[in-house]
Amino acid sequence: MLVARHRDRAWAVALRTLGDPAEAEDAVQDAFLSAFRQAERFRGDAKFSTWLHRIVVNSCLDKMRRRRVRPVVPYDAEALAAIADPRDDYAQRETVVEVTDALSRLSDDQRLAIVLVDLQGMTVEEAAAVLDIPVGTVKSRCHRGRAQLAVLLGHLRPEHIHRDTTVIRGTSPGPQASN
Amino acid sequence: MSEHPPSTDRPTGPGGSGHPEIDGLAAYAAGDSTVAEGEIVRAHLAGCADCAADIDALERVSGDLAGLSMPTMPDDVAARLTAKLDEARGAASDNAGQRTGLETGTVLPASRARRSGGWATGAAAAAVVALVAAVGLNAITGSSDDKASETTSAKQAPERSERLAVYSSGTNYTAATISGQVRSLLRQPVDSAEAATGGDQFSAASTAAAASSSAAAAQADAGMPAPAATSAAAAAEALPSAAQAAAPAAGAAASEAASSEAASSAPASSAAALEAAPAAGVTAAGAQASSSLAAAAKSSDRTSLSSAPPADLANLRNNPALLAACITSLTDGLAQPIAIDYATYAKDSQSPRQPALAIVLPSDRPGFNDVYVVGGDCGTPAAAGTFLHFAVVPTT
Repeated sequence: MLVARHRDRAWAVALRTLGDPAEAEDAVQDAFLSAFRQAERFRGDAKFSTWLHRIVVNSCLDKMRRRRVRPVVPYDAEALAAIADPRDDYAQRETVVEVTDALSRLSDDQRLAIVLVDLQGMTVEEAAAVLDIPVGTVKSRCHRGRAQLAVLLGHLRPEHIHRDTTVIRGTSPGPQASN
Repeated sequence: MSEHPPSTDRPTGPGGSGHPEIDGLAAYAAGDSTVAEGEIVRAHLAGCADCAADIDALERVSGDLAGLSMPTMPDDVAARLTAKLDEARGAASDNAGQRTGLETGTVLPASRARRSGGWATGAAAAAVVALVAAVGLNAITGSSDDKASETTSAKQAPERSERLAVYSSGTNYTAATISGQVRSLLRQPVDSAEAATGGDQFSAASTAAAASSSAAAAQADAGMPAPAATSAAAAAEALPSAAQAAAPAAGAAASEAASSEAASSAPASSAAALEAAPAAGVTAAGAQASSSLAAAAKSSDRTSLSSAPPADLANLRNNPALLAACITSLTDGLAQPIAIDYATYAKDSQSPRQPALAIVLPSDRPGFNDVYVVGGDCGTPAAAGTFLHFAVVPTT
């Protein structure tokens, strides 16, 4: 069963993750059609939204994989305009453009984690369920992604991200994600 | 690395080797540090302006991210998505006799404001969900004043109301048996029932019901709203030992008959059982039905049954808005239920039963229905989109 209640959320995930409205539209269409076909595979005890998000995320990952075989195209103006909310004032829109551009420069894995947790407001546990990765990995990707964004947005001097003097290891116990 | 070396004149962490990793600072900023890590970072930050500035930078990032508003799907994108899905649905529904009019683009003007543009079918279906709730529950409770708007919308668009059968079958749905149970449920007669005539308060609803759906219910017991779905006569024939709820729109007389049937043929608690799981009729065998009835009585809190349905389902039964929210949380109005059944659910035959509402909707696959089994918290924000069981079952 399709749940259009999740339409805007799916759109937000796809748009923020892919950065391109046309690709995002493709991804959302694919995801929802796929959700149709897979409906009987979904059995209770889980949040439907988690299940659907996973399908959307997989659809986005698919797009990103295909994208890798051709040169990365930076966001175009039209795309950025579509991403910026018309309700935002100019200064806000500037920030939106900067932040979405910075997001596009993260690794796919970091960007997905940031989109789900920081933009969609999921708990790390939810994001872990959607991404099918350990909670510690989600946290690690978020931390590294935020640090990367801090540099990309000019808040943080790049050398700070590569400090060689380590007192404290990343985050949680267990193996750290590779990115 | 050379630009930010450890130096003896800068404070370092207890390890003496320098600054925390930026990841560690990010973890600290996010509140994800362990207690021990947090202590170390905190101690370090107290004496290291650089790292304190890094924390500020990370917090600015969080602010930047939080400042991004969530984009809503543009109307044209939504319209194309709708078209795609309708296309897929249309292909599916060509063969599906049970499908109801989700594919049509009919719009209920009254409900248009529920959504931003470009999602007309959703709005229309959502309105039908509201109608369904009004018909299925408001009619029963008789508290109609605050539901005037729903019944009004029913009046405005009776052609959009769809068949909805409201059952209280007493069925105990399990993963292994649900397919047959739902088919049995849907075989219960719904066409022969008369439109509910219980009172003026839902005349609009019953008009709509009579027009096309015949969804309704009657009071199975005094003061106890129990959507019933069968005819008393059919009940008596099929299941002399168990009460049988009637087809939609069973009249008060039918319900009373069902009620007294149960009372006369079962222990004293059966009245309570009737309320908990009023009637059994949809399971194929009377014996099975009886046992599920008895089990329902046993496993339920009797005090809560004496005057009301199990607390879990009472909320859904008595609050049309909650039922509508429940159905919408599962479907967002994209499809409307064919039938709902106040029943019980158990994961398997060994597991405890719990009160549950089964919601049957046309599936996207031809010849199949989707069945959601939800708990009594369905419709609350915390439970949005959650359910106990989901199954796709063949219609025949």
